[in-house]
Amino acid sequence: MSVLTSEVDILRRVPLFSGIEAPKLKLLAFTSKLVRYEASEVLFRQGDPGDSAFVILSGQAVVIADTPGGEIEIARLGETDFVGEIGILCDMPRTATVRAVTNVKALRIGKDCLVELLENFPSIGLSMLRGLALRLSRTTAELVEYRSHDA
Amino acid sequence: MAESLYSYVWRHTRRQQLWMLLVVLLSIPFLYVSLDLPKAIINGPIQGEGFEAGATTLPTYLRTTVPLPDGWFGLDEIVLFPGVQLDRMQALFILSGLFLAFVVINGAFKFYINIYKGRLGERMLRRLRYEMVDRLLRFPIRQFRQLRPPEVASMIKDELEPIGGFIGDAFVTPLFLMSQVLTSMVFIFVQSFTLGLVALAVTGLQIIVIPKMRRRLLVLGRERQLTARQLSGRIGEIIDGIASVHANDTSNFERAGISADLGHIFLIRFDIYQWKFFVKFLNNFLSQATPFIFYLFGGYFAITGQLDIGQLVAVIAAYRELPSPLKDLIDWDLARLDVAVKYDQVIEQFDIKGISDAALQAPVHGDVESLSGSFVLHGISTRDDAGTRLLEDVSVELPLTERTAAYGMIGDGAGQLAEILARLNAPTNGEVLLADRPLKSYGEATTGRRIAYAEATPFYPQSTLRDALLYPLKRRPVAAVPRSAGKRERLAQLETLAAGNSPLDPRDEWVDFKAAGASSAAELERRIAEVLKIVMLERDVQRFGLAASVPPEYQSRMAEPILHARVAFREQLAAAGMGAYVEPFDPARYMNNAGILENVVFGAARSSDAETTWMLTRSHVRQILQALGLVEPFLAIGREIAATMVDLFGDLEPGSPLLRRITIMRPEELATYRQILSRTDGKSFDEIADADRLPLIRLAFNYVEPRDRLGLLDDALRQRIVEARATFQENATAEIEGAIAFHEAGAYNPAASIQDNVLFGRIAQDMANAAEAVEQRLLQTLGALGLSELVQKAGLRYDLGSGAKRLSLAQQQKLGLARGILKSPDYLIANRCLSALDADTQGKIIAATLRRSRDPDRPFGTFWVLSGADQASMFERFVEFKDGRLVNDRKIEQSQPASALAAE
Repeated sequence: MSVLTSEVDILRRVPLFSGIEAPKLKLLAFTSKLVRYEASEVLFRQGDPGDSAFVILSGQAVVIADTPGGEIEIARLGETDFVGEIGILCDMPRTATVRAVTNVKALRIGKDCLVELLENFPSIGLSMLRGLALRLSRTTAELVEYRSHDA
Repeated sequence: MAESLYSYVWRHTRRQQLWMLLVVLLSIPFLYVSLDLPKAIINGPIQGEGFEAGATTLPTYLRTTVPLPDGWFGLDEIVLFPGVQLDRMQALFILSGLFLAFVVINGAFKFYINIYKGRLGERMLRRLRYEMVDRLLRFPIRQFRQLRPPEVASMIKDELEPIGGFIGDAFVTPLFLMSQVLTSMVFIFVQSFTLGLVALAVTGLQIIVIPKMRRRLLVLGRERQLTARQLSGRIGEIIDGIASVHANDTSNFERAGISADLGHIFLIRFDIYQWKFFVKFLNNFLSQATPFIFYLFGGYFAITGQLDIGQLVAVIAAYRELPSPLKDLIDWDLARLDVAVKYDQVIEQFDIKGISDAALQAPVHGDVESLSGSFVLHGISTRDDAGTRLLEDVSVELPLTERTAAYGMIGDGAGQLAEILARLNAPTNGEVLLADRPLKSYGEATTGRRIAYAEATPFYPQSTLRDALLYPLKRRPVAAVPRSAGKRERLAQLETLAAGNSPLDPRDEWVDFKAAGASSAAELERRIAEVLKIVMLERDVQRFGLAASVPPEYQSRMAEPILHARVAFREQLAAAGMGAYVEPFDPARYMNNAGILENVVFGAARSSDAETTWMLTRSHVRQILQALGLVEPFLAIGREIAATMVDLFGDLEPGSPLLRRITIMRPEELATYRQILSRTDGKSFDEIADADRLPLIRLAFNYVEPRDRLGLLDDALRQRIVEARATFQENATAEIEGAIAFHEAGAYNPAASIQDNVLFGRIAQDMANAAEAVEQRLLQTLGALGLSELVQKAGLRYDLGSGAKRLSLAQQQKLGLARGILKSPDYLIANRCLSALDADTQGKIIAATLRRSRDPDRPFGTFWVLSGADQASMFERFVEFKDGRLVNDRKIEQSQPASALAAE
């Protein structure tokens, strides 16, 4: 029915948020900002301070790294992809640039907002921690595999 | 100050107390005479005494004498007034008239004394409060760690109040009451010595016995409080230990304990009742039984002719006058006890060791010489209250012209040293010299003006950004603001002096622009722009400025330039292909990026007090809505919003920062809307009461679709709202037109914000890059037209909110540094003052600050406690602290890479 509900539906499908109860996701969605980008507009630029993370609600975006050898495309992002979360958790500048390929609709989750949510509901922190840990173990497994192939 | 209440009061109000005493003494003869008159009236004209047939001379009235015992100096009495002879009717009229006159005179005396007393009390209350705050300002800084602000505030505000009220009563009331008692008493004695003895005995009993009994009541009251506290403790223990009660079958033991406690409380409370009513009984009995004695013995004397009837009536009347002053006297004594205890308690809190000398803070008019030389520290050690070592034997010389970077983990000593240099902390051991003089010997006028301090958690009271920024320049009034010398004004000045308060007036001009290195007020604006740029607060201020309306002093000449800017901006935006970023004001279209009410009203509030304007408008808007049948759909929208908000935020603790995320209502309104929802649940539109409709409609009025995203508007409704807009404008009353400036294409709107005026539209809220890009172009356009200063001035009018809640911590820190730089110090002490910023921004601000510090006209040195060692390369010297010790101190070659500096 409302825009908010459809946003929550998408948030629920983001792996990092999968363990969070619906009412809290709704709060997260409401306290975030809905933003639209036209094709080729930039969500954020490499080296910018990381002050927010994005959940892509619709459209396509591309992650690009600026290297001395020119731009390298690292990944493509679509619906339910979560990007920029490292920046807001670790207070690091952006490590890559994200640019819209088509018209993009996204939820921008501000750093302060996420921190306040985490302080109020430690359970959100726990399930995000679990999501991050899962991701880490997957990365580690991939690394092990990669190394063993290498050897 | 640790003196008793009475010596304090005497010291400050001696003269006034004596004057009041004099007035009281003056009033006594009048009181006496007014007691004496009824006797003369009854005995004389009424009963005809002295007018008997055959009497050859008329009786003499108003003969006033002072009797002398045993014919001193050969006289029986001293004649004050020989009296006049009157006939019976004349006597009745004149004596009765005199009686009335004396009643008026006595009343006037009472009135005068009460007013005088009240004023004296208020004055002393003012003095006491002022002295407490004055002392607070001189407290050693470490004392503030132990203070709880609400406690101190309530001591000054509430606890001193009864003391102030009592001060007027301190001397005069007992004397006044006593004089009344004595007058009555003497009067009775003069009439009849025996009856006088009786009255004296009874009064003595009352004065001695009853206060004693009342004091016992106070003691009992305190006991009752203690036992009640014990009881609640015991109940708490039972609840906490309920598991062991059940597990051990000890519930009956607990019951017995409670029973014993309650019994104890009962006995005390019963005792209190007994005493209370016994005292009451005794008091009443004594005052009511005495007339019995007067009737009996007085009657006996009268019948036997030793006393005439007039005398008896007068005695009884005089005795009736006795109980009320007597009771007041006893009450006064109780109040005295109570107030003396309160006073001692408050004074104890403010009588602190190490309070600084008032001379160090004395206002210094004129300029303070620049400092030169160095800070020299010899063997500095400090410990915190728990005795933990914070700094250990630090000796260092810091020339005031040098830019020093200090580094160390938090608690390792760099921050503590910064606090010592800024005089916010005194070392436990060692000596700090500034320009060869002990630091503590300087008046605050020198250190406060010539040394700047910026910290990580600056505090700002509620004020405008401008006031916060210029705060350090307000050291003394630099120019008097002329004020009409009205009666009130003179009285205020007089009272200020009488209460020993500061005669400086905050309404004068305090901003000392010369202290900021500016030669005129206009140049001060440029200085402000300069520091805002250094601390990278420029953009924020400009953004605030865009959202504000044109400051009043610019209003008259802004219409044309702003319209100019509007055209230029439109062209620029179109050229850049950013047309979609702005939704223009179009009378025929619904504005998605504005609230519903704004869509109907389609204008801006003229008054700065927007709330009242909206209140006024709302009712007009509602009439229009009623006529157009829009109330029902809006009510539904309001209900939907309320339900969503209660659903989202209803479970949060009050005060949770998440509540600030509610944009559509105030967080404290959540509870109200929850009640409204439950009242209106399931009711049809017609059944909902007006009182519930209004808040719901108000909620709907605030709804902005792209912001709140609840999907509550469809095209049909939008169309109807646009129609309502036209109807509203057509039917606008003069009152509405006075309150609202409508948006009109091609016209400047003095009430709208600068941004609304130039854009003549709204930034699309959901276009992510729109705000940034539009603002930037907007500022460019305004800058090109020479309107930057206007934007800055408007931005500086931004209200910080209480505790600067409307600024982020990063902005607060930037502001703190900005005002440190603005005062053109000789030395800047920065204590992790940018910690909330990312490292990159910190580096940029430090670099800009250091550039400014090398300005040959107004150079300053600095002691900068860094958050990270990387930024040290920009400084000339690097000192590092570890465990309270100085472990590294070296000069920096400007080109040396930063990474080589940290000791690790």
